[in-house]
Amino acid sequence: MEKRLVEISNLTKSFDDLEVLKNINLYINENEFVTLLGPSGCGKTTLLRLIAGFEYADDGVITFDGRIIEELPPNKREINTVFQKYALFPHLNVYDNIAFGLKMKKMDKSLIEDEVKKALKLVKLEGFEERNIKTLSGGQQQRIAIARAVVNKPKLLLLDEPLGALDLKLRQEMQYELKEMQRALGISFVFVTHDQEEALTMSDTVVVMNDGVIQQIGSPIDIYNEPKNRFTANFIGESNIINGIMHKDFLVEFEGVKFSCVDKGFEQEEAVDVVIRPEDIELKKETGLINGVVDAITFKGVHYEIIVMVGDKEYIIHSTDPKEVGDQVSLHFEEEDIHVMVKSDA
Amino acid sequence: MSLWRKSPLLILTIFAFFIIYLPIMIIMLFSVNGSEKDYSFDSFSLKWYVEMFEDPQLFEAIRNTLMIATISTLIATIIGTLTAIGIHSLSKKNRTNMMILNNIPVINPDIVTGISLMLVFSLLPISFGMPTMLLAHIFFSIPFVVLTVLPKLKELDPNLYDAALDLGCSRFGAIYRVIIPSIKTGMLAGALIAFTMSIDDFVISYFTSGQGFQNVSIWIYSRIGRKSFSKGVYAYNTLVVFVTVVLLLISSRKNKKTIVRKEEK
Amino acid sequence: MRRLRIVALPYLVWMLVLVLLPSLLILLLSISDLDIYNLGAFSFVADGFEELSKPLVIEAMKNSLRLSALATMICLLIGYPVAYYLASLKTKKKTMLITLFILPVWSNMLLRIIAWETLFFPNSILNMFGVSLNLIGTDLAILIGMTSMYLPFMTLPIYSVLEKMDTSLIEASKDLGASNMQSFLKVTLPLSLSGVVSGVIMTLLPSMTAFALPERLSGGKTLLIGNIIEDYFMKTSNINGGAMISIALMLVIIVLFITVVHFDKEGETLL
Repeated sequence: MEKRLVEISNLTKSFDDLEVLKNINLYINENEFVTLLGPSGCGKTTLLRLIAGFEYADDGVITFDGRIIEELPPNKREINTVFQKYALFPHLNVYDNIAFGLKMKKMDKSLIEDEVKKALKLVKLEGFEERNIKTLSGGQQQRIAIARAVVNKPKLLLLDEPLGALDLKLRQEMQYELKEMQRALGISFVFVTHDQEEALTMSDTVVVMNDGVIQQIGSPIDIYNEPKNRFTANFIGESNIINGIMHKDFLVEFEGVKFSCVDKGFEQEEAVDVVIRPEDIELKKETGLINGVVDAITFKGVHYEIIVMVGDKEYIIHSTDPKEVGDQVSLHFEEEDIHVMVKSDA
Repeated sequence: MSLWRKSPLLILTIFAFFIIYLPIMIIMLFSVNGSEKDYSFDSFSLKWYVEMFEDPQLFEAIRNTLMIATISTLIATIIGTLTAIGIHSLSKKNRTNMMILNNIPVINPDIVTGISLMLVFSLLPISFGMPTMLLAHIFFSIPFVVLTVLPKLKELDPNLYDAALDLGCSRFGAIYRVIIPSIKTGMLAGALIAFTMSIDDFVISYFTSGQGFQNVSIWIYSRIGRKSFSKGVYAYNTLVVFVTVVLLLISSRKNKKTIVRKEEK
Repeated sequence: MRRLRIVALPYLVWMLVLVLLPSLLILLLSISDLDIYNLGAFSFVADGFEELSKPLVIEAMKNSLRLSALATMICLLIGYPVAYYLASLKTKKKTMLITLFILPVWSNMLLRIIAWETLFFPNSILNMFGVSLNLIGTDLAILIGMTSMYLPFMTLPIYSVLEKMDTSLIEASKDLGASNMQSFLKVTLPLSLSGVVSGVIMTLLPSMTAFALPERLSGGKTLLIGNIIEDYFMKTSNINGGAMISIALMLVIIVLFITVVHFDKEGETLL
């Protein structure tokens, strides 16, 4: 039975005259890996900082473990943060950095030693106690920052784009390690990133944000397969967005052709956005329902990216089957691959 | 910081400003004091500003001060910049050692520098007076120029100089056309510091002067409490402070303009 | 740019002549009877050490140490909080404020000393406000004068260090459970130590070796080591004796200098 650890209601925050968070409503369960995902400036870091206590909201309520905390200073919240640039104390060695929070709690010295050892083991840096912070690599510093936070056994761990400064291979490694860590510790993580692949890899729940507003909340599969609006569809993965009309439930028309689809709940004849993922489209040489000409083809390693012009609209297709520029092709896809969304104003 | 915590700090800061500025306020007051006495203020008068030009020794001292400051700053800036370029090109170990040497005059108390120079100058075939004072001022100014130019050199792309040579510049041409423009702000800052250090210098000048060559500080010291102490010097000092403030305002406005222009792009 | 290394060579020679040579000279003068104005044969003598045991000299040394230590402490007690306050300001005028704080340094120090001197006489401009001070000759006068002159030197290095400090370190500290006071004591303070050391050196050295300031504000009653040295070199022309005293002073300075270099290797905090 999942219990709600954090409940955020009607949270609003402005800086000077700029509204950064507009009426945010969100909850986080125990033992959940939540990612706040969005482009720069969408408010995800601000939201994180409000939960941590480094900023105070203009309006709204934050409840943590049943208590109202939005007015509490950060040192009184049982939440810990892993900072973007790690914020390791340069004048303390690894041991003292990790032990910092425990010393604040006036823990017994021998107990602290045990806990620090355990934390170092968790981040796979045993034996690093005496090391000077400045001699550590970026990846190592990052793990120490994590160790320093989790050693305090918080119920909630906040991570502010912690993998941003790492190179690709290391990033991917850390993504798996963090996920494992969260499972092993049994606590909730709130992870902030602008990298959608990262979000899809690690999360139980993804919160997509833009411009201070939550665009969609859901599991990675839901977000990817059933984007609810144009922004989410564009931000997560690549997509082809086509103007269409929903005639009735399960029937949509676009590119002059009527298709059966699996979506319902729209008004009759409602103008909608139709999303089809590039990897769901198959190109055939014969003429079909939708026809076009290959405009460009790029080798991307994992697949070919093929641009097909249908009239003056560009379609992106991902396929392992190459085509030649100038080929006449027809586009094919399954019913389930047609996603209908509410039309966005953009 | 909460307001509660701010109040005592704010009060302390105001007190600090007060204790630092009080003598300057007094000097400004004296510069417009109609009375001859220092303990009463009976009328407002600008006569000391005129006196500044009319007292021959004071005027000469002011002239000497400005002359020494200008010449020493010019020479120190050029030598300092070239030296900084040289130091920048050294290996790390040599650079650290050179910088230790460079910083000695900066850290050394005036009196130690003054005496040291006095002793060395007595060994040299120069007469004490303007030449020795000038040398002394150049000596203590160069380290400051080095200290302001060096960081700017560190920010430079290390390939810039080689690129210039590659495109046909002579060594000196490369320095002049490529390096100097990029470190201009450092040079200017160093020159400014050198100039202000020189204008107000007392102790070092005192030990390295001779034959009656006086700058303003020596002039003051030799006349404190005596009749020959003309209050025109208060006027001079007040003017110097005003000019400094104005220059600061201009330079800060210039910085704002460059920022605005960059944003507009 | 390696080829430009040679440009630094003349400077090396210049500095060796004007910095190291005189130090050697002073050393030599202090332990011999070499006449600087009449170079010739000389022999090593131990007269110089006598100078150090003269009561006047010892008194001056004690005064210098005592007053400079007190003045430095006062400047630290005032300067650190002021630096902290100014560094914490979020307004754009922050730079202007710190520049204003330093501005008086560019005004002639002798005149500022004279200004204080006039205020410390019973008959002064302050009478207009019903205040009359009689402080000439007191330690308080010297301390006030020193604080007024040297406070900017103490405050600026501390301000520089505090201003550059990463604010996320304080956030991290609070995140880990430290209160504001604890964060200050355990994070801010230790990290600002290099600035404090710079500030202390920048205050201790000038105050220890001042001579115009104590001369005017004590009416000639309290002598500092600077006064003694000035006397030996300029008034009685006892070069060798003066050299000995200078050596004693320089030894103290070298110790302090090594402390600064230990704390800051790029020479940045010195500006």
